[in-house]
Amino acid sequence: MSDRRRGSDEHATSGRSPLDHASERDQLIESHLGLARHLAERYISRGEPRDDLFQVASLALVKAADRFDRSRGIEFSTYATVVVLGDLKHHLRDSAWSVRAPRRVQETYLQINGETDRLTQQLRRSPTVAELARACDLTHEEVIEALEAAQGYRAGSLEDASNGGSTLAETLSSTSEEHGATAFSEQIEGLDTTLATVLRWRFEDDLSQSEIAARLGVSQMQVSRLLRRALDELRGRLGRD
Amino acid sequence: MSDHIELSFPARPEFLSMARHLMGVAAARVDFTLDETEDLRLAVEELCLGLLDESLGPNVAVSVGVDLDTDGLTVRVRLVGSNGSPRQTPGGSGLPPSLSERILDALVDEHGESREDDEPVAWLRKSREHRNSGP
Repeated sequence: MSDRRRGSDEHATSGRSPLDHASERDQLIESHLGLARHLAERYISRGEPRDDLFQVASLALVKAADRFDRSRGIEFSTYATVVVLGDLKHHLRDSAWSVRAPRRVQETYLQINGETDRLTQQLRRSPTVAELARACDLTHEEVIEALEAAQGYRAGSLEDASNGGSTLAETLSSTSEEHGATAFSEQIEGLDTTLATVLRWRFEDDLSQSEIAARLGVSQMQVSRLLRRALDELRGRLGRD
Repeated sequence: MSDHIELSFPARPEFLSMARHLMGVAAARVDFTLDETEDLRLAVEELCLGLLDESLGPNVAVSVGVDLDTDGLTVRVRLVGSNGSPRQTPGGSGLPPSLSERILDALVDEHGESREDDEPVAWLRKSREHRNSGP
């Protein structure tokens, strides 16, 4: 079935929004699994297992179906493509577990990561474990377990880190600010530009991790890993006086 | 709420992940946001590293005590079993003192060093920020 046909089918059943019938939602997901697989296959050359990519795409499809609001007048296939591609890029950016976590935990983390972004925008601050658990229909322990496992994600090289197309270095060059020669900037001199900037934003400009994440277009967890890496490098270079 | 948690682990950097994990659990109990939780993890890691150094014997442990209350939590970190000769001043593998001070200032509300039972203790205090309620 073509996307155009699917679109016509969607509008033929319009009138309720968002989808309020489980069977309608399930049918929408089922009929677009081919689209999810097609989008996942675009990224097979990146080295991630085919099954993992398809799983990320499928979960994103479910998320798209849950959030689809037909009253906005766009076809589901269009909306789903945006959501699936976004989650695939998010996965590739953050993923590659340095310690292979169980699939269940990986899935939970992917779910939590998406909800964290959504809740951060909604609440204008980062969410608590309780709020994430409520939003994801998980227990507190499951959320904590997944967040712990997220520490096992490889940060990836700074060159690879991207916010949907641009590398962090490119993003930083477009948001660069002049900083005078402070004692702090002298202490972090010589660090990679990205690490130094993240340190300066957090410890000189007093931005929260979520605020830095929003500036860079990456997840708060990625900022956390960058900060840890920056501090580790500083400890290695400076040591104790 | 007034719970106390105590965790001991060998005084070597490879065991620091246990302290980070403890902070994740403790922070969830007092309803910290993810931002606050990650700040707490970084701060406790710095406190612990400040006590570690290569001269410590193999039987020395780091003890991390956490007191939870309704507003936040207090963490005390100390060395245990350092051959009966408690360290007089923290040294360790952390950042230079001036930088360490700056980092901790940004991550927590209060921090410092004290002596308990004639042993040096590094401590920190972090409270929940006043915030809008969730969905």
